Amino acid sequence: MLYYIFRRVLMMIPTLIITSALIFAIIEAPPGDYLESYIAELQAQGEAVDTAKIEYLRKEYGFDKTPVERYFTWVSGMFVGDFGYSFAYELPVTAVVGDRIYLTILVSMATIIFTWLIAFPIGIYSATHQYSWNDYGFTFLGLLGLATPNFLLALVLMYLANVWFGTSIGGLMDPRFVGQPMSWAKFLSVLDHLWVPVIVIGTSGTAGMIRRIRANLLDELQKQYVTTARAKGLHPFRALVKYPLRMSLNFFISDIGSLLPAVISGAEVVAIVLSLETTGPLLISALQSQDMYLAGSFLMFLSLLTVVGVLISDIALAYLDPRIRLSGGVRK
Amino acid sequence: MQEGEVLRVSDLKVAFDVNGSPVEVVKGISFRVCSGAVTAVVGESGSGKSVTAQAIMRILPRNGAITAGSIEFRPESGEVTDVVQQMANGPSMRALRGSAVSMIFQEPMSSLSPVHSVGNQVEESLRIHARGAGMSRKELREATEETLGLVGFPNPHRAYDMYPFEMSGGLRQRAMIAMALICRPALLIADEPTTALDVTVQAQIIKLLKELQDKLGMAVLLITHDLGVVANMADEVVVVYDGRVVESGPVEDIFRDPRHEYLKALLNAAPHFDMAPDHRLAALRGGNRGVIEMTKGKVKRSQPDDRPLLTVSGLSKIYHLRRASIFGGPAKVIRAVDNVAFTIRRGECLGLVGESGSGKTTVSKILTRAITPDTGTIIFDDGDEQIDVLALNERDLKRFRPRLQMVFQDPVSSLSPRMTIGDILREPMQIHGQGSRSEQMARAKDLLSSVELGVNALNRYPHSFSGGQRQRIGIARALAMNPDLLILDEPVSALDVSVQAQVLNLLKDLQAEMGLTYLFIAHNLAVVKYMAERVAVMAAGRIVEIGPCESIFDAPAHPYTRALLKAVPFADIDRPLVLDELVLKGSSDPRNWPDAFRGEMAELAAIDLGEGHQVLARQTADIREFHA
Repeated sequence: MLYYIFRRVLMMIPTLIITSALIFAIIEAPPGDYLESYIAELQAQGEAVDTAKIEYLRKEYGFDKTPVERYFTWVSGMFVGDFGYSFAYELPVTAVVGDRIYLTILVSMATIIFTWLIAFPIGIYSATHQYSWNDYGFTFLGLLGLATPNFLLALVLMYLANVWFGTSIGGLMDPRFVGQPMSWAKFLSVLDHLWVPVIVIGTSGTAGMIRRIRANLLDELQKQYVTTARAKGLHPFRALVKYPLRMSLNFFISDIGSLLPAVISGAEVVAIVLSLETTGPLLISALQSQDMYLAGSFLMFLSLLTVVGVLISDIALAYLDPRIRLSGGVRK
Repeated sequence: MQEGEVLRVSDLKVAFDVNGSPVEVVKGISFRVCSGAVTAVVGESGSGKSVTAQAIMRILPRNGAITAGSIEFRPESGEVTDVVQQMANGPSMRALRGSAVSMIFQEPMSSLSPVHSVGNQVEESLRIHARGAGMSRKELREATEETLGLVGFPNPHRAYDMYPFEMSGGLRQRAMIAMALICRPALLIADEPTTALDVTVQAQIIKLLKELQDKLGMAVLLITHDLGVVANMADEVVVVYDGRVVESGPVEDIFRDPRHEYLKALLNAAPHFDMAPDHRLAALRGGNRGVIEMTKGKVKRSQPDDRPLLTVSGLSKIYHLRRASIFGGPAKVIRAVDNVAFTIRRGECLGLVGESGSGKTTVSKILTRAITPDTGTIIFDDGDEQIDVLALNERDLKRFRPRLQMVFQDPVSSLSPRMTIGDILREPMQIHGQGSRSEQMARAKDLLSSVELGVNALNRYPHSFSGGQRQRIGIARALAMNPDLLILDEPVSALDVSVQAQVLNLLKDLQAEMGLTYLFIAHNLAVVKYMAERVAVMAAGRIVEIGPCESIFDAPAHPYTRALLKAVPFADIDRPLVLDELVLKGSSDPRNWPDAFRGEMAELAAIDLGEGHQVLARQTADIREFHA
């Protein structure tokens, strides 16, 4: 088992190196760089361009070097926690992302938990009561949830909240807490605002997951070992949880790998609509203004999450399923 | 209920809800099971025998329901319960299930959960029932290991922590039996307990079940289609056909004096060892067959002669398993096919016999070039030229493929459900660009009539045909290319006895009419005896014995062949199974063979016993070893 984990961690390294090269290449691909678009913007506004300052910046941030050199500077910086400099904010990337990363993680985790809490009972119910009226009802709701664009749902909820509660639910906390240090009151305010983005971001994921749990469980319910469990005299619910449900978890665990980045990157548009202080809007504006180190570091972060997510799901799978654990050449 | 009865089923009717309308599957079945005795329910697939068993356990699928009748059950306590009156999943029924009545199933591969250890699953039965109530974890484990030992696990302590996928089919079925017996039930329902197992393993399980039944004094309800198993295990027999009992009585009467036409036909339809060479099986259902015009545009196939059509020599295929750890250790090597050599003469049928994992399917895949062997040659001699099959390039291989066609085991998955029968039969002709569309259709019609199917089948899809019909479609497809050699990979093992006879007769007729050559792969020795002129016996990737059918069956020289022959249950109550040491130890494992037959391939040689009968043994082996 340890060897298995070791090997998997080792395999992450080349993956990440290749990803970083790809990310860098894609960000470099559009013509021009941040400084050029900055100059163009200044000129458009009719302001004088300080050539000396531009030259200084060009040197300082290595735009006079070749892309390959810049790539290595960027990558080697990441190892010591230096993710580069955000031109637009005129701050180091770490400072810009800072707080937002925690809020992002909070929103994402809450969304994932929300998804599981809703999807599991409904999925199990639908599978065990296949073709009942409730099953059809959940299926309908699920398809509705899948089909509704997130940002639309966000707008609708904002409108309704305003009409019903008379409050603005935009943002992740009351405006007076923004920039304040963490406190109990701020925490409560965050919780107060959290439910809207969680519902908005989680709805389609929940709907999809209900469908998948239902389909997987239905497959497993046909299997012979379910009959064996019934023939043993097990209570139907215990038999359900111990055997088919456990087996249908495999898909769910391998899902975790893609869940982490999907939740975080899928929330950008919603975050803009709801003006959440998460990292999503940051990434979009960074890409727009060719703020390359901010965007690049951000994408790297997403890839890291993906790779770690896949690792976690693989380890969990190996732990849960002896066929993976024992037939992969590893003996316990 | 009478004295001594454990179970009495009276006029049981079960119906299934199929798209809103009820379909009666069991139409009034009555029988009894006496304490300490075995009642066998015999019938074909679809006769309602398994549904009856599920009804007794009250584990029918959700769309099935008992519509009439009673199922009275009297465990040791003496209290009679009518199972039909209980709630299917109520506490009283759950207390019975797995405790006083328990069940084992056909598929040991899928009946156990793959992600729970065997100990966990066996122990669970004990834990949830009264018998295990109040036991500590240690006591539970001890009781579980004791039962695992009882069903023949050599090392119960280790078996407890093993997972089903680490075990062979036979051991898994033993684990299932342990699970069923751990609460010491009054009645054990065994639903085709040995059907999915190899012959020698089947013999072991039959023996085990009989011993356990004696030891624990329980009643057994055996559900099977195999009259050989019935003759060896049953005290009373109930023959079911189409949801009704057609004949029942003590096993003696059933076998010595069958009355009902169906039972008589069933007894005649199964091939057995004592058939005369020209014996013809009586199929339950016949059909009118058209003689196919195979010689269109091409006169070929002279009389059977001694020039072999196919010569295989030195065939080996080795699989390397992944290393066991980073610290090395020898890489595990599996010799799936180990220096296999044989010939097939034109117009003959060579039977290839062996257990699962013996390498017989790998050989057939090598012959069709689906797998590339590590060494060896295959020469195909069609009379005009000699073709080195393994040396063919892509283009020549395509030209060669029509000569050698295959019929597969599973009639369900070997036909695409999305193609009509006409398309299925035309596909090989399309691939090889033979004929216009109308010519292809005409040929497809000929092919259908040659396998006793009507022309109206052309536009239908496979799902509207029964297993036997599908297998005949598979045969027709293989014949579409006018092949010289047909590889039949377990063509009848998925079929009922009655259908099996029909397909076997068809194959024999086709062979005679068209001068076909067969490689007939099977695990059923009686079937091979019926079909083949010569037999090759495979074990552990090697051909251990090869020769004419009579000498192999009458004077087997290799210990494995002998064990194989001894393990076949006869549908004859005067010839019960007598199992020797080797069968019980596991005859397919070369380590259990006598010294004269063991060793690396280089140390062994095919020793000729005359008339082409050869056995794989050491050169130095004592001749008496071959006549034990």
